[in-house]
Amino acid sequence: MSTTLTAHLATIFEAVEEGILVFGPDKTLLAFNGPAKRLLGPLTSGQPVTDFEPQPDAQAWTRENRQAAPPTRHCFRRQGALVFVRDDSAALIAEIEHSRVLNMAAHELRNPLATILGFSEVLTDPHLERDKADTYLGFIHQKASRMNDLVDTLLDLSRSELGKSIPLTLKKHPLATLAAEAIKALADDYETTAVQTELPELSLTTDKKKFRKVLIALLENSLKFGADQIKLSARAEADQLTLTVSDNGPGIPAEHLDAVWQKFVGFDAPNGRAHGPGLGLTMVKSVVAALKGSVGLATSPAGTTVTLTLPLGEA
Amino acid sequence: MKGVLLVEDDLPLLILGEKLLESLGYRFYGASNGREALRQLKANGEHIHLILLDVHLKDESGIKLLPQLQAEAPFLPIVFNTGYTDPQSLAELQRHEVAGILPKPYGVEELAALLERLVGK
Repeated sequence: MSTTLTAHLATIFEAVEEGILVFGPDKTLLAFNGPAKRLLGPLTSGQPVTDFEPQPDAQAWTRENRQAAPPTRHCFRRQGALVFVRDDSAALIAEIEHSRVLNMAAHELRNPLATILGFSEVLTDPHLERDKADTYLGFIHQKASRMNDLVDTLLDLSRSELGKSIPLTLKKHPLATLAAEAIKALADDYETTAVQTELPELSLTTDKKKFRKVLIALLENSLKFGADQIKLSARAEADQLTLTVSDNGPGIPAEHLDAVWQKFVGFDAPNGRAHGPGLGLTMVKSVVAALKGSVGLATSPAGTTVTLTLPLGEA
Repeated sequence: MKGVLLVEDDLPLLILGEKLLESLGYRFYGASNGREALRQLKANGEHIHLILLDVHLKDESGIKLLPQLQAEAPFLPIVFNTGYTDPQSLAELQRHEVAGILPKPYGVEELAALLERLVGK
């Protein structure tokens, strides 16, 4: 083989994306390339092939352990064997994430379904008093609306992940009214007197339903995590609205900062309150992006501030 | 008549539980949070034969509430009630000392079978 060809082959050997292990007829390692070392860790010539047998937990990869799996198949011929090693952990992580999201979505839909199924059965009782039947129908309606909201949010998130636009119904709404409606929606579950508003008298062009959901999610996070002073304030500059929700809650631990934006990742509050579906901030980010705005978050043990910047829209 | 304490923070599910338990011939005791559950147990402990405990309560997790209920009534069977029914979540719940796990949504037949097995009629 000419020197030039050998040099070319050596270059290709190192340039390919896959790891390559070359075993001799005695089933020991003769050569390996850089990608193989990167994927499998330190390698030494002469290592027996048994060092590369699949480990029992080779499939048990997690986000923290992205180590590549050892080769699972090799076929020895008289001259030895070439083994190619590829890192499939990204696909596996995506598969695990997909299954986690499906599980969480199923749970979130199952909870309201429990009420709908249960009361629709109770309503078949011909002796049921009228006022009770009305109450139960109210429960069914309330839970069906919640499911509808959840499905809307999931569809919006899916569209946003696929780079498609979220459908918006844009109209002009007074900011104070939108804020008041959001606070009212939380009043059944939380002590909303903790929320103080400082809002200028202005209207913005927005999707009422989605913007209200954004405000509810931000205020609910503050309330759920134990803040007893929450300020919802806004200021307008030129054609931009800067809206801030700041609280005196315990702040977000540094190790959770990335995960809070992921869908279906929720954290129990330090005061013992269990987390919700874990869609709040993911939804906030995608809706604000659809409204051509941006979202920022600053947190410390003294509190958290979320800032939204949005176009005010047509004057 | 045997009594069941249902700890559930979702009002419609609490009312539905009451209807199902009464239709099966059990006395219903309800609590929508941990504090109320402990209060019910202190006040009516002698009439309560089983606790159905929602795992995800708004004010605190059912898992955190479990040892407090067990301290108050050490010999009472406690059953977790949960909508998280994937194998990993169920395996995690099974690590706790509970008499059973009742997945949501549950119907009258599942509830009847569970109660008959753990407390009888």
